[in-house]
Amino acid sequence: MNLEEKLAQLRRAAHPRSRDVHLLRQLEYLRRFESTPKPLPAQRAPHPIEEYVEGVVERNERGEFFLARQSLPFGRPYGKLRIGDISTADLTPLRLLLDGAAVPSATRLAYLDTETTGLAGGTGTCAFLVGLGTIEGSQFVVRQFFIRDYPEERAMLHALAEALRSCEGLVTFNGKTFDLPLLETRFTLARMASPFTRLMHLDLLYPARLLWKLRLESCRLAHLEEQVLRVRRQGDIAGADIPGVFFDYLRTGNARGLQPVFCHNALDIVTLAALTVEISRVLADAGASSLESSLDLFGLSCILDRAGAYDEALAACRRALAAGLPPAVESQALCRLASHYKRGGQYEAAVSVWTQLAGRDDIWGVAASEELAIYYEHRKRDAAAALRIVGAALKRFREAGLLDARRERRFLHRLARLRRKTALLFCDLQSGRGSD
Amino acid sequence: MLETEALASLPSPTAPLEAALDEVQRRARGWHGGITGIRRLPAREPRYADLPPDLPPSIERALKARGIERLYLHQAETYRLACEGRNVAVVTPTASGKTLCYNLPILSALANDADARALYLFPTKALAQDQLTELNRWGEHLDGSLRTFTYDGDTPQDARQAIRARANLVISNPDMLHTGILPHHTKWERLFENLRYVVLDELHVYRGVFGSHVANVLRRLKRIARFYGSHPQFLLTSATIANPAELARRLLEENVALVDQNGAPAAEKHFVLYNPPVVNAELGIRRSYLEESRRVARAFLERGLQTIVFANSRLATEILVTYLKQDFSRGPAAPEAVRGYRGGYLPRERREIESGLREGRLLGVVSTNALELGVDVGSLDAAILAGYPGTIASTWQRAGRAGRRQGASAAVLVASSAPLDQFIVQNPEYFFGRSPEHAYVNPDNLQILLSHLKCAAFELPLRDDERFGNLDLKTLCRFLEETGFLHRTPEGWHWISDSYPADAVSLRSVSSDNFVIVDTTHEPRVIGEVDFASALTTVHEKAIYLQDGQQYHVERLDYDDRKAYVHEVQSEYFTDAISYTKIKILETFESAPLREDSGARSQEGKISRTPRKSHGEVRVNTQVVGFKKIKFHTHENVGSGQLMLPEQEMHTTAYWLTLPGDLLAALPYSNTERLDGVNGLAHAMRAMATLLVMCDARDLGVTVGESALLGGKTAQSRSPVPGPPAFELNIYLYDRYPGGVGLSEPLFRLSEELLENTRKLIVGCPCPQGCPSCVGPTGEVGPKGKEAALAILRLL
Repeated sequence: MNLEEKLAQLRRAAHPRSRDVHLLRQLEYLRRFESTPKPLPAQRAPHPIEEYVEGVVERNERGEFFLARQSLPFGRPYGKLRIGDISTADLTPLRLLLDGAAVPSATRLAYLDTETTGLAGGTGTCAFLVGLGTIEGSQFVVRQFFIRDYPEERAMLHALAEALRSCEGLVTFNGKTFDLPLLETRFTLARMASPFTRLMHLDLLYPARLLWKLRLESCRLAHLEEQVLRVRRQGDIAGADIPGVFFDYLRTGNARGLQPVFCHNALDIVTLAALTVEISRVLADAGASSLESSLDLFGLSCILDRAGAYDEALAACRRALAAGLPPAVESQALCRLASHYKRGGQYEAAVSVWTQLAGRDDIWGVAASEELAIYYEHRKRDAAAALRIVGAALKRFREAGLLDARRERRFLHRLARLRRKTALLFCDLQSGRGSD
Repeated sequence: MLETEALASLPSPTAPLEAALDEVQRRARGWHGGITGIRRLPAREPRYADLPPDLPPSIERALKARGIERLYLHQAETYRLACEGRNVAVVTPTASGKTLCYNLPILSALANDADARALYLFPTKALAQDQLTELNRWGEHLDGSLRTFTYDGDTPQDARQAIRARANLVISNPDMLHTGILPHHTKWERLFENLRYVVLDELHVYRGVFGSHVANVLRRLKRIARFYGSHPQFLLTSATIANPAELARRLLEENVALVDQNGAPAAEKHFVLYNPPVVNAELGIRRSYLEESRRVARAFLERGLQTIVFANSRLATEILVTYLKQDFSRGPAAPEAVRGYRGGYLPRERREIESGLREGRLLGVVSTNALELGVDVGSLDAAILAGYPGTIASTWQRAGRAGRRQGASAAVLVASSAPLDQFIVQNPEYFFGRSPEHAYVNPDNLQILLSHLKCAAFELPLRDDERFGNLDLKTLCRFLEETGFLHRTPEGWHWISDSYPADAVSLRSVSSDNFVIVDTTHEPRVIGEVDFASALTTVHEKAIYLQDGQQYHVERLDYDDRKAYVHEVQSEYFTDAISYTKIKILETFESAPLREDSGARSQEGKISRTPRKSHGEVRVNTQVVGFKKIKFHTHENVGSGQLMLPEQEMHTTAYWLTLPGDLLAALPYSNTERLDGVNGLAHAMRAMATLLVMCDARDLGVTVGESALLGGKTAQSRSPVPGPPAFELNIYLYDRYPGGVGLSEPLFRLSEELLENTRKLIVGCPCPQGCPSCVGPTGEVGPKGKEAALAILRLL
């Protein structure tokens, strides 16, 4: 061994942690590519959540978590409703949204909304705040289950499951794709049984979209709250900022930023409950006395249609048309109307609607032309008439750019078949004449 | 592919095959080049073992229903080891019934336990597809107890939930496991609770950057399985490489038993190494290997022998198809009997070609590596390899496409003038002997490890007492805390970022930071991508960029938006970027004299006279400072330009060879010639290094620098050599992935073999003064470069 190697060996012996030094140097190098560092835990200036949100630290067999609780008396107004309506309103019409299943009584329903560490989904997204609204006595109570840090999650989930024990149904907004799968994942990660499997679940997003999308440009909960319930929310935190607020709290221990998040969540819960009342009212009101717009009426007819309440759907559709709809929606409504007639075997009525529609340069016009062609080809057995309709429609809608590839193929296919049929017909006639 | 014994006996093609081989040999006779190696690999008798007595009855029935009464030795051995609970790596050639090795124990386990689950991982979709077909065949005999589904990027969203609930055998790939399965492991609760077996097919593909990533995905997989209380066994297969067991152990970080006694029979095969003749000795130019491949292929095709031709690029594939179709435009076969096959063809077209080959409707196919693995094209008579595929393992796999069944077959490797091709055909012993190819991974590459640590934390909080890799986990987690990704609690480190970390990590591309090439000749359109490292030297402003044989002039390089705007041109010249590379040694991990005996002769305080080999951590700074315009064919320098591009810095690992000053001084040459010799040696060493560690030339950087003897001094390439050589020179081969993926240490260990191969390469090359096949073109290394390089090697 030469001197150089000996020295190297001595150096290694003098620095037994050289592997760490090596690692630290590499890390130092990588750090340059990272964005500016966030405040370190060393700079913590604890301001616990109790300072900003009314609530208590709860303890159960799984540990501790923070529980906020607030009650809203029934008498308090909430936009165009009163809080008490949540308890007293007739919710049975909601069965239309539940495939006819029975709707639990108002006291057995829980309104649920979560605040999470992100929208990415997957196992790395956590619900750090779960709000639950229920009726207790003469009050609407919002309980908020909050983890002050990750280790409290088990205790929080345990308490949530306990709280849901007395419930039979759950109401959420977009809970089918977001809140519930996320919470299921959290229960699995905690190796605990999910409390949701036995609960009826009503996700308001779907009926809300059908009812109001035509009238309102957005169906976000906050938007519905303002436009449908006439509640004005002030100084609300933007949803996209919420994960960052929680991360900052974890890093600094200062809970000040969380106050608006609790507010936001509580208001969402109340709105969820109020919206449930409103939707139930609309569903019950196919007579349309209280609906604000013919657009809502048409939306209602779509819900009824989907629920299989065809007579009510037809009535609502007719009334919406009678009240007047903007052209694009009117076409859609006419198309529905014709489908109702067709289903009921009232072909003449259907044909007159389709004929009216077929002249329009929109996708409903295309659909109506197809229906007419089907009617003439298969019901009236008049291939020539069908051919005329298909030929004219293909030319006109192609020029208007209304045919996507799939539709165009369908038209061409039909056209070819009809041509064959009419040619055969022509042959038959000719041969018939020959035998004369 | 399952091998059954009773095979339809096809008419023996021996006579026409012999005739074709004769013709190839006749053509080659009397040239400088020609056939350098020909081997008759004799037929091999099968070695059988009885069916294991403990097979579940349903499996035994299914085997018999499929005509399998006995197993090959290696199949029985794998079954035995798997049943003992061992991880097993099976290394046997193509078409030796490898898949039954893992299917048998796994299907038995699934038959015995209705809850048991298995996960199969394949590196390509074609292999996954092939295996699905095979397992479905099994399924027909196993009435419902086997529920196989593929879960990958193509699986429709609405089918995914059903697959998660129903499948007891899931076929996927490492990429999907990484982004789609592990980050959603709660949805796969059943799979992970009952995961008995994981299959990793084509192990040797998982090397370098890709392998280092996959090793970390496996760490994550095992971690999730542990969480659900399962400890899966791994069954692996690999093509023949020098260190399959070592690679398996490095990937799994567990013990692995090796099964490499092949019991499958093989028919006789002729393997020919064919070197096109030299047409210009000065420049080391040989006849076009594509032209030669065409002729060789024709010799087989004309005799009605089913032939597959492998080309190394899409362009070469198209050229060869065109040539062969021309050849057959006047018979004897119809031009339609020869088809091309590559990615980019429509699936329907590909299926048609595959069945055409299987059913004998097609006579020949020219393919990229798309047909190397997995796709069932039946048995062919001959495989022609137009150019060395890059690894010996690949060469055997491609050659294995001919002669899957009985009867003699032939494989011909037609070498191009690339250094590796030349080395392989000129050293047949090396090729036919034990595999020299070592596959390496470095799962602890810091950058790779940190990306997967993020993913792991996303999947489950990391605990301090856990092990994830071999670096200090606490230090790493603290780093990720400081950079805002993790949050520490008493029970561990939690992910705190509103993002999905797996989306930010691609297992296969070296860097997601690619430059997009936009052709503005007509309507602007994207014609390709260049990775960051190559971009600065290939698509800088005024560069001539070549793609698919078309030349483009680079108008503008938008560095910030990562775009290069080009337009089509017809240029007389191509461009060669001049870059300036500095290497600084940050830490030497190991250093040793190249010759054992000479160490004692060094004197204290003086520069060591002994040539040394070392490896360690280095900082590489590269800057593209200009470019040369080089005329096509004559290689004259017809102009140059300056460039101002940002300097790139990278920390990585390197292997280096230190040539002491007095060793260089002893050479009877001028200083310039000595340096030419060192540069030439470096050029040849890089080519040979890629062979030993199974990497691409672009994975290894090479530069020559003044030694940083006492540390701190900076090495600079292409620096003039001042005065008498009282200094040392270092030849650096550095890993071009930041942090290194484990290429340098093996090169340090394989140093002697590396230098011996380099010597063989240079000696074997017939050029007088150096050419691209050995030390580099004369224009670059100077007239004495080759001679000096050999002189240096003699002193080593």
